[in-house]
Amino acid sequence: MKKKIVFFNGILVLLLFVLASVATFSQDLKLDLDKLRGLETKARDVVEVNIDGKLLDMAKRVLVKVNDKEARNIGEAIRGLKGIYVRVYNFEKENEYNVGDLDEIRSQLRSPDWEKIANVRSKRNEQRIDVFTRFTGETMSGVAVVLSEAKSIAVVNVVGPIDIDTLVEISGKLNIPKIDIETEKKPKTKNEEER
Amino acid sequence: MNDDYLWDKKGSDAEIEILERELAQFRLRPQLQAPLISSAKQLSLFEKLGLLLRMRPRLMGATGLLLILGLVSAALLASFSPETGVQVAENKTIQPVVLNQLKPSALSAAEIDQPKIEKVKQSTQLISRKETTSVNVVKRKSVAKRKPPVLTADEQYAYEQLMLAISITGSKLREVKEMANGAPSKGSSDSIR
Repeated sequence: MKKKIVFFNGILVLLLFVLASVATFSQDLKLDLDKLRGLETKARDVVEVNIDGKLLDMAKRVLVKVNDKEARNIGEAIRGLKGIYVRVYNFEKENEYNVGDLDEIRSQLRSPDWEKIANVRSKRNEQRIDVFTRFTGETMSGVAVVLSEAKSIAVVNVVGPIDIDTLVEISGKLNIPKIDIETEKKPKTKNEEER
Repeated sequence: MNDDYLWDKKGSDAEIEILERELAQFRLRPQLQAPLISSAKQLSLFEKLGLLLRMRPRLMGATGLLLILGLVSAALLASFSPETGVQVAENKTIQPVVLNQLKPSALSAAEIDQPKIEKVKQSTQLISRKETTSVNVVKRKSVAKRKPPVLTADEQYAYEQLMLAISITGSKLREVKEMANGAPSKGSSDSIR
């Protein structure tokens, strides 16, 4: 009897360890973008997109509902996606932000798990773009893009496998909505509506 | 009294002849005969059956005639469509029979019953009209499928957020790709809009 209890306890501990490892791994893939919050007051336009969990599942279901070729392609490209986090800050004047703010993000990507696949430097607009990827086995499990220009900063963090080529192709066809919003507008909850 | 006269009216008997003359006014006349039914009522069951058997051919003929009339009237009533006023059911049932019977080699044009052909034509038109209606319904259904889906506010929000994220991610990656390929970058803050 004692042996059985020890055996089941062992399995339980192993499961907890595996779950904790998975959670930590996912957490590692998600960058800490909160350090950019200080830029919100300085920027002219701010775009913040956080889509994961239930919201992402809902969006995937909508893609199935829409049921056209483009939606199917997008759905296929983001099938295993777990989250996309985007921050874009546009400034009125040049060098209105602190370069150190972005270095915080870049430092997170210096770990050996992340691999820099593109490093673009251009004197025009003081452009600097870094693209990082992370692989789990042979599957790409994360992408990060850090872009800085004289008047703008953009950070994109993709968690989960994604088809980059399809994404690039699709984004060229999509109508990008005009962004003049300061923060994302979440749908009103029932309590808010009652107020 | 002459017994022969009483028996079979042979000879003569003055006394009886006077009585006959007196009673002649009460003689049974043909027009005053009782009706057949009343006499039939008095017949026994076997006699009635015998009478029926004797009348069998006439009865059979009359019954057959009534049956035919009944069937024809029933068929006419059933074939009459109250909505269109056109015989639909009849055409449906009769049409294949008529088409099977109408072999061009066996029948000449003159032998074909013209009104029947008209009915068949009518039925064809009606059926084809029905078919087109069903096709229209199918088309409408397929059109309805193409309609954009009705989304809740949350679904709309999630979809827009995803599209926005994909657009920005894709545009940034494309920018890198173009620069890596030596193409001039459009990259600026304006490209995000």
